[in-house]
Amino acid sequence: MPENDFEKQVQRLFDELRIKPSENVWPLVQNRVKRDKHRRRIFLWLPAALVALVAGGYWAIQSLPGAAAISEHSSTATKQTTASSSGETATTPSDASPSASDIAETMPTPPIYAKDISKQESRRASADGSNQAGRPVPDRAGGYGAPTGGKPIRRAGEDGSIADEKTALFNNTAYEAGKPAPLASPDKHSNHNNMGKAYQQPEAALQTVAMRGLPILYSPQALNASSVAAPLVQVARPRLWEWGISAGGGISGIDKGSLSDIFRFDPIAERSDALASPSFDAVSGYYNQFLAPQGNTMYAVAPPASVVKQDFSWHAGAFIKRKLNEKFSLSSGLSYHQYTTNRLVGDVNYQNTASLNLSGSTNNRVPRYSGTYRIGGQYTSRYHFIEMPLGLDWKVVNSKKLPVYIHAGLQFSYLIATNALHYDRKSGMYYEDRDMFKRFQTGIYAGISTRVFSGKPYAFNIGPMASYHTSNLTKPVADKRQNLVYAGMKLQWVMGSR
Amino acid sequence: MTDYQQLVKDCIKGRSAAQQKLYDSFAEQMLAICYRYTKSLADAEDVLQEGFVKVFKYLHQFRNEGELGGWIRRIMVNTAINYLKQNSKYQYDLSFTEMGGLHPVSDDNPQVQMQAKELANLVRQLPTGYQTVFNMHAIEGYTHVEIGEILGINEGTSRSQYMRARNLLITWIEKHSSELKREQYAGK
Repeated sequence: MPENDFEKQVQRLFDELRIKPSENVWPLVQNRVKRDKHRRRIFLWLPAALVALVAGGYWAIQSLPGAAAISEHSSTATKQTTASSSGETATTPSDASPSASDIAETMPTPPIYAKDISKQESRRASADGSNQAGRPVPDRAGGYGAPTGGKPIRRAGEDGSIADEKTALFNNTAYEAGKPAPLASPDKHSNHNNMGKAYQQPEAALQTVAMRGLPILYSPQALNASSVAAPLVQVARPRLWEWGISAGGGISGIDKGSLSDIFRFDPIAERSDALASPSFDAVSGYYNQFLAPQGNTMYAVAPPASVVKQDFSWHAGAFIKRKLNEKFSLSSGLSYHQYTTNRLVGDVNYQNTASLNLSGSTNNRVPRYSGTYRIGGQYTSRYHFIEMPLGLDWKVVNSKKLPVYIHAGLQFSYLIATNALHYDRKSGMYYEDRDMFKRFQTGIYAGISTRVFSGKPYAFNIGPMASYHTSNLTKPVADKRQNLVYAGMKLQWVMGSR
Repeated sequence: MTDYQQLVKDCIKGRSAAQQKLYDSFAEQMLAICYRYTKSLADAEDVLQEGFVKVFKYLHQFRNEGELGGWIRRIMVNTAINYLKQNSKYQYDLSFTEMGGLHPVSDDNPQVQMQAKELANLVRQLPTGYQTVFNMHAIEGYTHVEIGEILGINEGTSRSQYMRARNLLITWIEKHSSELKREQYAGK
């Protein structure tokens, strides 16, 4: 702490200083505080909203005619194999031209030396804050430096504080703490409401406008609001486009059309249920799950298909965004996405030799079947897709450091290749048949992300996302409904904007 | 429990009336601080607005050990400095470009015979770098080492900027005093 008298005097003087803010400051503060509170609530409800969004989209797709009923199949496999195992510049209109005092405020101020004092004193007449018309102003909603497109937010004389400030300067009147500055002359005060008249104050004989470091002297007669030459002001155009590369990884799986499988993470338990020991039904007289009657003949049925388990999935591609307004952007892109699932397969050797004649005696109805089910190993099914998302990004938290976005939209995919297996119920065989897959798929996606290093060249977005293929993965000839599901983290590196 | 403690509690609960009371209690004092750091009243009000948003956001972190006014003041000063750093209008002037060696230290200690607002207006006429360092050192009491850390400049730069600002101000104040005496003499 400086022990100097000068500093102490300055401190004492400034401790007394009070300036009454204009009336509109408190409502702005109040709005911002309320908005922050609202954002915190959004964070609490966000998970529920995401689930509702995905469920709503699914419900909407399901309600479409023809989407629901896919007949149970009798498979016509074409190929059977026994499985063994995503500054330009612009000029402002003339009404946006800054006044002389504005230029002095907005341009870099050169160091002031003693010889400039007389100029400074005359400049005080048009001191800071006397007129803000047309200057670029900070965004009162939170962001700074956002151009207002020349629209003034405050003019000289709009609030009493500015007039008071000038009155005090012109008249050297005392400013009492907490009270409005006394007015030496009501006429002078009223004159401050008018830019042109304000310059006709006798004290303001000359106005100095510091522009690009060069002092320019104006006579008061030459400076009125209408005659001030309108210098071109460069206004940075907001960057509307943004692009970059994206990548991510997570878990993909197959849903059976009810979304129930998304939340099922214990496929092993289901599998053991499927392979439970056959029970003998005394009424029908055959072993459930293993024998099925067809007319007078009992056939041995194949064991149920093994459960498709989730596996690692990844995607990589490029994205592009178009800003619609401060909150919303349209986003799209093109990416490669590999969905992966796996299942247990084995060598199945079942023979339809367990038939018997039901017309015989009770003793003869004892079924006979033969067959083996050997667990082979894990088979990894890969689905190679080219995907194009088309959606909306909603900026829910307008923070400069960590803005938060919610993404949702449609996803169009094209299956370029797959080695995935189908299962034939009759034979109990797993087999490949690419023709049974639908090439074009549609889906929905939703996610949330935050921007790290916002405003820097290496800014990136990171956050979780989920997608759901609303199209059936297989054609109607296949045995049942299958929908690809993906959940994981997504990272977008913003490489450029314009 | 003091009135302020109850007020803080009510503000944390989100009671609008309490928040407005807190704002009304400190707004004028804080605007005077913001005013010293900026070049226009509109900018000062922007800083005030931003500062009070932070005050209400972090009020739960305020320990009742210190003075509420001092805590709010620190927030306002930090907000003002951030505003200067972020606002393109001030960035060039806040670049602290060295214009030669250390400025000779002035031992002048003139009697400051002017009103607070007049003095504030003189401070605001300083180049932004000088203005910021002067405010931080002479009024807020930051050391040059602290100023260097906050503004990302050398301690020496802060010291020289301060001395230049101080000398400039003293010259202006003396000029103002002599003019005032002349006017008084002419008036007689």
